[in-house]
Amino acid sequence: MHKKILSLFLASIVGSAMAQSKIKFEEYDLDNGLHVILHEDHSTPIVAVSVLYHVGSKNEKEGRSGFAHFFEHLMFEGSPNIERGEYMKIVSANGGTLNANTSFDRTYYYEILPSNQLELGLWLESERMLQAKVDIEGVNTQREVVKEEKRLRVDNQPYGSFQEKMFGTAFQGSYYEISPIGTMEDLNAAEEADFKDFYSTFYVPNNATLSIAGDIDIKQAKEWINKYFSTIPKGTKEIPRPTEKPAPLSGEVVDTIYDNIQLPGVFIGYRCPERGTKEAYAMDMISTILADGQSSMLYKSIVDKKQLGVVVQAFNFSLENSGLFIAFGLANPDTDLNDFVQAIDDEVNKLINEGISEEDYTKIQNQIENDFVSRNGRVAGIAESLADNHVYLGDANLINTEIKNYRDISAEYMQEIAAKYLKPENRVVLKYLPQNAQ
Amino acid sequence: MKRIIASLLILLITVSGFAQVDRSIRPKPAPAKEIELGEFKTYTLDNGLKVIVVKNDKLPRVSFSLVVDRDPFLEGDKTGYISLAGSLMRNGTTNRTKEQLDKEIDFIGATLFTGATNAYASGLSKYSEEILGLMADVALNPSFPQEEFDKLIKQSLSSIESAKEDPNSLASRLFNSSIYGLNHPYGELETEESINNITLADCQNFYQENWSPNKAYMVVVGDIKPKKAKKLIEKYFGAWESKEVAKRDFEMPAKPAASEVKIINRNSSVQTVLTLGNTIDLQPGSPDIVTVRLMNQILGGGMTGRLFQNIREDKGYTYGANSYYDSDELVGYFSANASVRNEVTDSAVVEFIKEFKRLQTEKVGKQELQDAKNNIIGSFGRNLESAQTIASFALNIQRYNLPEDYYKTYIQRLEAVTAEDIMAAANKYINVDALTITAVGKAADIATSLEKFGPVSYYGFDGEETGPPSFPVPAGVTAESVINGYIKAIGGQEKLDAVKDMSIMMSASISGMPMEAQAKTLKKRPNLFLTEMTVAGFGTVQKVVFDGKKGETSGMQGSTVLEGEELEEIKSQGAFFGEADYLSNGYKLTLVAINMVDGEKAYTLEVDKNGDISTEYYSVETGLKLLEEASIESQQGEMTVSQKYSDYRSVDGVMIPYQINISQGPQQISMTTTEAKINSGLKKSDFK
Repeated sequence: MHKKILSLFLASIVGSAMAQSKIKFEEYDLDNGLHVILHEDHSTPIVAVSVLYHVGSKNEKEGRSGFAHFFEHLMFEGSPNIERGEYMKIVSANGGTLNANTSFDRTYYYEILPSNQLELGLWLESERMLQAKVDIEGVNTQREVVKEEKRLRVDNQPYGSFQEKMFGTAFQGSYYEISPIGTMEDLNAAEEADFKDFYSTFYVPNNATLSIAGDIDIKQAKEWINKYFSTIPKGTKEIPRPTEKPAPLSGEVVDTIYDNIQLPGVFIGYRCPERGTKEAYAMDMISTILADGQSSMLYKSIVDKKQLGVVVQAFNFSLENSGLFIAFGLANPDTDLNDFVQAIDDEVNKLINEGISEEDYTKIQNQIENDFVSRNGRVAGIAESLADNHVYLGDANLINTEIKNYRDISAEYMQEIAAKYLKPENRVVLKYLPQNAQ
Repeated sequence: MKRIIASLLILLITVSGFAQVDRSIRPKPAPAKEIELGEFKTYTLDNGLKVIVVKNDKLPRVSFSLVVDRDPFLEGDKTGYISLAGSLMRNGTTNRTKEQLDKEIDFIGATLFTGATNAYASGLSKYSEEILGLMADVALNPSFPQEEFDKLIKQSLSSIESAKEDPNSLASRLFNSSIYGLNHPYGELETEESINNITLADCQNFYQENWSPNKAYMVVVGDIKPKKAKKLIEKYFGAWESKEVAKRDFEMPAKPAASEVKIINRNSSVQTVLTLGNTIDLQPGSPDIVTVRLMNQILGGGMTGRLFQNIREDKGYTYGANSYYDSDELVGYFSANASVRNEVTDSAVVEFIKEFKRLQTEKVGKQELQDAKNNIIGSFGRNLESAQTIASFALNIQRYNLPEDYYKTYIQRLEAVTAEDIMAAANKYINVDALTITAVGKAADIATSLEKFGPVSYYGFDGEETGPPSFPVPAGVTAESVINGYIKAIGGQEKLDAVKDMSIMMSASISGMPMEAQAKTLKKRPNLFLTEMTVAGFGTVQKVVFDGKKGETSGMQGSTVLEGEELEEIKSQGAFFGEADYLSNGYKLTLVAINMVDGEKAYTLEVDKNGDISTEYYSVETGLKLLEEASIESQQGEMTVSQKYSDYRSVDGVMIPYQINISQGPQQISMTTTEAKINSGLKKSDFK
């Protein structure tokens, strides 16, 4: 009897300790340069198989914008062993789901499968790493689809041009100027040879990270990974990877856009340091104090007290080689946007001049802890975080330790960094006004 | 020993396999693992509050979700007030101001929000009690402060403003108000007016009358022991007093008899947001549910659905095409949608309908059916990764009185569905001949081509029918160019000048008259004119003649000689192709806009001849005149007279409308040309 209770007791301790302890993982490189990360978690019989290619829109040649994103579409077209259009069907018919996304810095693919289908997932991803079908038929269909995507997300949406305009202005003249979706002109101009060249340059094992999380047997997984990926030849071309930092803004840029909208909107982008730096962590925390929750400085002032608008948000958008701290808001119809911008400036200046109270500092630490522990609820998210941390910061283990980087930021340091970056000469202000106000 | 050899052998086989992987062989799955549903605990407090606890300690977090069950609610001319009442609860209690609430919630990094009949709070499990305490305060002690109410009204008005230009908001407003009707809980729309009608008392009353523990469920999920959860909930919700809540019932909304097209015009649209669908009667827990889920999966359940494969992957019309359904105790829906570029809007509708029909008339193949089943089973398994899924299963079982093992047997029931079942469900739940097709887009580009699917009508933001929209006239088009275009379209000045006489025979059917009339119109240059209407058995009922000098009208009431203004009118009717004269003196022309005439874009031209104003519509595409409207004084007061021209045919190189539809107030006359002749050699003596 005693024994039973004891073992139950132990089981519950071990159980909860395992569950809430750190994310364990293994990582290694294949001879062809493919980086592999494996995380084992048996709580649900599913597995996330993902491949991150370290290519985003910043790697594109001039006149060929939108390529990285276009490839994301093309990579579903199949291979010699997977017929055109079959890729999605195979995953779906085997109980899985898939998707992909492209950013300025990387392209990410994943499948989430029942865990007994791990080998299938590896075969699928290895096929498109080795021999994706890059032909004119797929190019033509996907070109139309991508144009529809652009119409959907940009042209047909109120404020939809914001990303294009913001990055185009804040990073003018640099590789972050054109958004991943690219321009229609460039997409139309692209030829089959361009695509083939792009594929053989960037879609190579030495530019990829295979990250797997879920209900796997590590030994078996390694065997299969070896089977399907080790024979993929290493890339022979040099991978263009811009490292020089985009030049700073030469002064404040203010632009007004007349759009098909009803509520005036304002988007303010401050140029910021790149991902993983101490300054970037500070900027994350600054976005929390400014705009996370209804007690945040901006919400309280603009929505609650002054009632200038319905929404105000701020977030720190970190890139591999730079960053943009974006504050935006939608004003009430009768609000003058200059008042709105002034109200944001007032709060930012308050932060810079008066600093952060101890109570507020504790609050944002709690908010950040809550965000941090919420992140790893799903194996798909874990696979992605592991890969991102490895590729951007060279340390997959940040999934467990990154919270410390936030803990190390003091209130005084936040104040200092706010003063350094949140100043008018370092920003772009985009004002969106209803077309009929023109 | 044997074992070691065997495993070495396996190793050798696998190793040698590396060198020559046969990539053409798709890997087979390992044995499937059983999908296990997590456990949950339920109990009921003395006041009737039902509690469901799902313990999951994977993350040090906890969530509390309070759901007050209620019948649907018709808000009428105050639509929007119940959700506003819900939001307001979070903005002040008898113990805390909004500012205090904000501060306390954010301080522990928690989230708390309220809706019309629900509240949700989550955060780190170490703050479980604080989180639940805050939630109980807003749920049980809301103070409904006037100041916060005023703010929410202002914010609601702003949200309505922003929805006006958002194509997806417009699309869901249009579709819902169309299938359910504006006077239905699911179809009524928030408008500026309805928001302005809301009072603080409405919010208070709603809360008083509907929030009661005997109608409520508290769902707890996360890193908390059921025992502790129970203790906390009793502490914070045990004193909540229960009350009677009124029942409400609504009729099923009527379905259209045939398919119909409803458009909200948005001139700036480069894409049409298309939605097709109908209401369905599908109760939660119905045995049809697994069948409908499978049917929907095959049709439009994501990237492998037929709609996506056809409309995106094959045609490239869209970024995504999907279908949806909802089971509901009152009334559910089936819908399919896509955002497609303007010029392929009608083609996309054709494909949607084609796919609906295919599902109704062809049995789904064995493989496709099994693939769809596998997909759903996979998704079922994936969802179990979140403890919230188990919680929602437990909630549904209680709320809809489902069998205890409803979700445990779900996959079993799904596996049993046959191809015949799918076909039957497609016929039962997709009303392919009575679809509501809604489109938010640029009417000028899409309206005409949508007419083939059903009558087209136009709506405004508030759900009101507006009639066809108008569009700005492009630069470079003038009244003069429209008239010149018309002249060119009907044959050109040279051809028209060569016309010396014309005779046109028509048969006319007049609303309310049992027999057909025959109409004869003769014209001879310069302006001789005769028109005569005869009805078999009655002889001539009306005749108007101008012989070049005098005009006369005769008929069943005898004859009158025309003089003055009336004579001038007859003279002008005798003119050949009078539109050419519009450009000379005496006329004032105003090109107003582009409007739709029976789904065709037309230049709207106001023609003012000495104060006599008529409006004429010339097709943008063909240049031909489509419609003429004027308002006249009659005994019944002012009345609009209109003449529609269609079925233009070439007679000796001149385009003549073979079909003319006249409408004068309640009277409709349809005139169809039976014979038209040009230069047949009419004599002066024919005009008598």
